Amino acid sequence: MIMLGNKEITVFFSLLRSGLWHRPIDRLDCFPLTDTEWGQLYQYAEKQTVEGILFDGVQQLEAGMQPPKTLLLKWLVRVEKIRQRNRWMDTMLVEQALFFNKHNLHPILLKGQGVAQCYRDPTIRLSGDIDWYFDSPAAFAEANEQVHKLGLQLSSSGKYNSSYAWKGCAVDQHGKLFDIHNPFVQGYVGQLESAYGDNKLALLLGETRVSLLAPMLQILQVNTHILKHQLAFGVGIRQLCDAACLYAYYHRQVEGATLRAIYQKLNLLNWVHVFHQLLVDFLGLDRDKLPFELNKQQNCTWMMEDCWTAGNFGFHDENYIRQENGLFSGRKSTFKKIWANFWKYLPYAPMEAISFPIMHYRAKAD
Amino acid sequence: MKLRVDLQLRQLGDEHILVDPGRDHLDVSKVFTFNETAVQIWLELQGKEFNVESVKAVLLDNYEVGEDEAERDAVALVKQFEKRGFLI
Repeated sequence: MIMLGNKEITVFFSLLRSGLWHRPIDRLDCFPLTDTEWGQLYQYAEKQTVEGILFDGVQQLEAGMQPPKTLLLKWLVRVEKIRQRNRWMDTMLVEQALFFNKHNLHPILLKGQGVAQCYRDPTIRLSGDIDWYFDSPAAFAEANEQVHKLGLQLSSSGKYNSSYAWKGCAVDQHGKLFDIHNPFVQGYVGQLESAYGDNKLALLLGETRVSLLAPMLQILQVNTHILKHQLAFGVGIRQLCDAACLYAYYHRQVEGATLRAIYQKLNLLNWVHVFHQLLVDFLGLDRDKLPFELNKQQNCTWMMEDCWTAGNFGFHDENYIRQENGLFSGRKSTFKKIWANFWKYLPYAPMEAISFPIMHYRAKAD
Repeated sequence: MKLRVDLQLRQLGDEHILVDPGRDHLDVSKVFTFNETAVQIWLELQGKEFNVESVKAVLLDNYEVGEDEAERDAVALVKQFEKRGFLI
């Protein structure tokens, strides 16, 4: 059981809210912190890959309340490294886009630098890898073929995913847009893709245009991806920040009633209500930036505890890491983790909770 | 000579810190504290080709100093920038 009410964690969320929305710190009563508490807080920020956002909050503190100088400088440098990595990621994106265009392929960028544009300061969001979506099986196969021809080592995970390293940058290619596993809504998911497919956005990097999904699809894609990770190994706070920033940035462009109907049709509405409450309560997303009103006061603390434990896409779940390194590592602990998540999320996203493990093991068996 | 474009001047509270983030994937970053004069000169010279004369001109334009003092300070500053590896 994680104590989300402890002082460092309370400060963590207060700085996060301040950094995300450029608001004054809302829990000044928790300051000042001791050097040890600051050290712990920095570790939390690293684990959740939100060092840049928190630093923005730290800078709003009066001098007497800020961390010790050595930590402040370390943090400053860390944020500069994040900015440096983002500049590098942009050059990798341009190279890749030009490579695909040369082969008459026009993939859509998912998450990553596209979502970063929704942040108040896109340069401080720590980027992971590059995710491309190819909107036809032929385009997906052709992209894999072209990458293979370059001599890059391509690994496949199931029928719809491949990955490789492009000059040291991790790249994932996808032939399927949504992480929705419920077999009864696959036709509807395809209709959604067609309905919004022509409303693509563009990310301009110098003179190179990179396509992004329409806002409605971006929100659906990011949120269902979060749910998939919650059903698997967990998701971290940075991924939740992505969802909050997407809602805030596109709230005028997304018809709330339509999105609500989509969630309902996908059988995700109960999960979405808790998720929205979490974005408001912990991340400070304004209620009026949500696509539709909160259902009623939902208990979302359990979901945040789940995210807090998992860290960045579940890489930091200490329970899981211990098991992975233990005597009975691998499949057994994976199964246990997915089984536990199944029961946790069953009341909120029943069809996904049931379908995900089946599809997960089927894909592994293929 | 020119200032390196990868160096970032940031404000941290009342202080100005120049961050040299190092090479892309290596964690060999360095930080330098700048005083007001160094900050002003840095901002004036960013993105421009310059020499000791240009630095001297910035000093004469912005501070009440004589020709000789400006010359001495400009030479010292350029030497410092060179020694720290700020120049290309």
